[in-house]
Amino acid sequence: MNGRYAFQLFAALGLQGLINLPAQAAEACDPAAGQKLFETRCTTCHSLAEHKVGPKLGDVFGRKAGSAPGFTYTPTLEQAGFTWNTEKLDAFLSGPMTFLPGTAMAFGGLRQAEDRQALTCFLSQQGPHS
Amino acid sequence: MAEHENGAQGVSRRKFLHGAGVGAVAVAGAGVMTPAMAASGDHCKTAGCDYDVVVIGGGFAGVTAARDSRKNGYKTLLLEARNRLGGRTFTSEFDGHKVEMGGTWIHQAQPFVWAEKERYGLEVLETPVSGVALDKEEYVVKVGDTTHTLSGEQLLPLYEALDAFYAEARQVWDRPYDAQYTWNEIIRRDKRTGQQRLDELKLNPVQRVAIDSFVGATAHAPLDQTSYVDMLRYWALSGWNLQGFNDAVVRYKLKDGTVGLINKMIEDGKPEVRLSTPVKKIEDKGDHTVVTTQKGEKIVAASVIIALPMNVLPNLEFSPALDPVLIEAGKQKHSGKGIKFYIKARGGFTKLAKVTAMADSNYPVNLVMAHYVSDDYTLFVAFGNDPSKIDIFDIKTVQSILEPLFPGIQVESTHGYEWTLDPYSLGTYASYKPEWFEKYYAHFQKDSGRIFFGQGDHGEGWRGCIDGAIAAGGKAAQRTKELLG
Repeated sequence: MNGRYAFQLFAALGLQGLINLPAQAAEACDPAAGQKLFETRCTTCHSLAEHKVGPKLGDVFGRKAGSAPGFTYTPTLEQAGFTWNTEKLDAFLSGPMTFLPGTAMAFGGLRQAEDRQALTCFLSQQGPHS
Repeated sequence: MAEHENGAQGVSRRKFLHGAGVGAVAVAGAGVMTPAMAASGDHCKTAGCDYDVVVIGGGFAGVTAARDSRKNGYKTLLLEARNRLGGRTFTSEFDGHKVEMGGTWIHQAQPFVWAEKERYGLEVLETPVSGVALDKEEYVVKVGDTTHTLSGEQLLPLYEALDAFYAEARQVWDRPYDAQYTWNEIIRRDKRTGQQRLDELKLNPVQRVAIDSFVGATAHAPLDQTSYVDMLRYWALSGWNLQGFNDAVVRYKLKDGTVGLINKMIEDGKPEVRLSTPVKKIEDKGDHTVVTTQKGEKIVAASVIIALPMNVLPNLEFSPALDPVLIEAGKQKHSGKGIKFYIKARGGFTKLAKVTAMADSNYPVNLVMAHYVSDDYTLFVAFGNDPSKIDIFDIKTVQSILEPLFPGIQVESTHGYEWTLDPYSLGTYASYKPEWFEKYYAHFQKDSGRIFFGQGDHGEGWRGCIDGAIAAGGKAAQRTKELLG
């Protein structure tokens, strides 16, 4: 009985978790490639759940640039004045220092458009991880 | 999910680091501008000042300067622009292994860093790290479109070539810590590049590539942009022979990472640390100094120690103005401007062996060395002299570049950091360029009033390495003590 109850609860929580994903952003894109990119190219400095060398990125979609609490940004990011969406992330990831001169992000950029799309897709489907 | 956190080991390590960082910052937050709350007995000795010593730059030079200044009894603040300490050392994780994105290796021939390793009882690991004994050493040398795989006695011609390249090291650096002692010998060769030296030697193509690769990776620059005499310095420092040199520059790394030593030094000295605090301006007012942060905060101190990479010095304001020669040199930049990255791969190379691949200055990677070896796969560390020649994060590109070296190799993933893009380093490990001894040497590391220069890029000995940074920071702290009394 208890086991069955626990299973149902687990399933319910799992479903709840899915619903809690930013469903509006979970468009018809495949996050798997983006997840791999994130794990190989971003995790040196970033995590989804916590600030590292760079700010946490789990909730970057829809966040105002330079605004994650507890992270100290360069003035460039603080004054960027936009909210991260597919378009802005794509432009930033193509060359952070070209798009936002003055950023301290030491990354040359993702040169392939499909890589940027995959990574943006993955990030769009994350939510707060803390 | 575990994949977000790179495995349990990574989490606990990061949490530890995070905790250490937060702790240090919390102490700083409490102490800054409220001397009464600082650690006991830690009051500024000079009337009207916030600190006796402000150290700018939290790499090994700055951390050493701050630790020593605090231990010398001075109220000390360490300011760091990034939100981590370590400067051009940065312990990261790749495929479950601790890897160093910047400075990595230390050795007993490097007196300052080895003393710290001993002082804090830190352990070292061999390179490559392996679960099994590696009795086989193999070199792959790419000459044009062909590769030569060499081991055992086949390597003797390479050793002879390197001996020939560095043959003048004893004459030029008879005392490796005293450039003045052989100054005329240095100046006579000051304009020479590594390429010019190579071209005057009678060597076969395999030998030429070996030197190009080896010396180029040491300077992290194409051979025609490296200073011949500065390359001789490394050879002299490690005992004027190949075995000593190899051991000194690519053998031992700290088991707990460079960050482990940084943390020990901070815990020991307990200077106040402020991360994410770039500095804008440094003023020497005669009887005190004023440091202005980019956010506009002004900090008054009896003295300032500059522990920044030489390449970023032109980005700060100084009053009185900085020696223009330092601006000129900083804008010209030191020779270290390449790329270093890690590659996880299977196939195409001898398993369970200490494999090294070499290619000439024109190739996108010049030196590739086994860094972690297992029966399943190998992690390589690769050096290239020009980041624009390779997108280290593009697996297909890296595969196509590794394929000619190791036919049949399968590159799975890569990991690296672009130091040349980081505004707080603007370069990798420093070596001097041709003509710099005559033009700049006398200007480097020259204190001015209350501003002391403890930059790891300069100073006698292993400048440009972790050891040189610790040396420079410690010496600057000592000179500061002589001023402050």
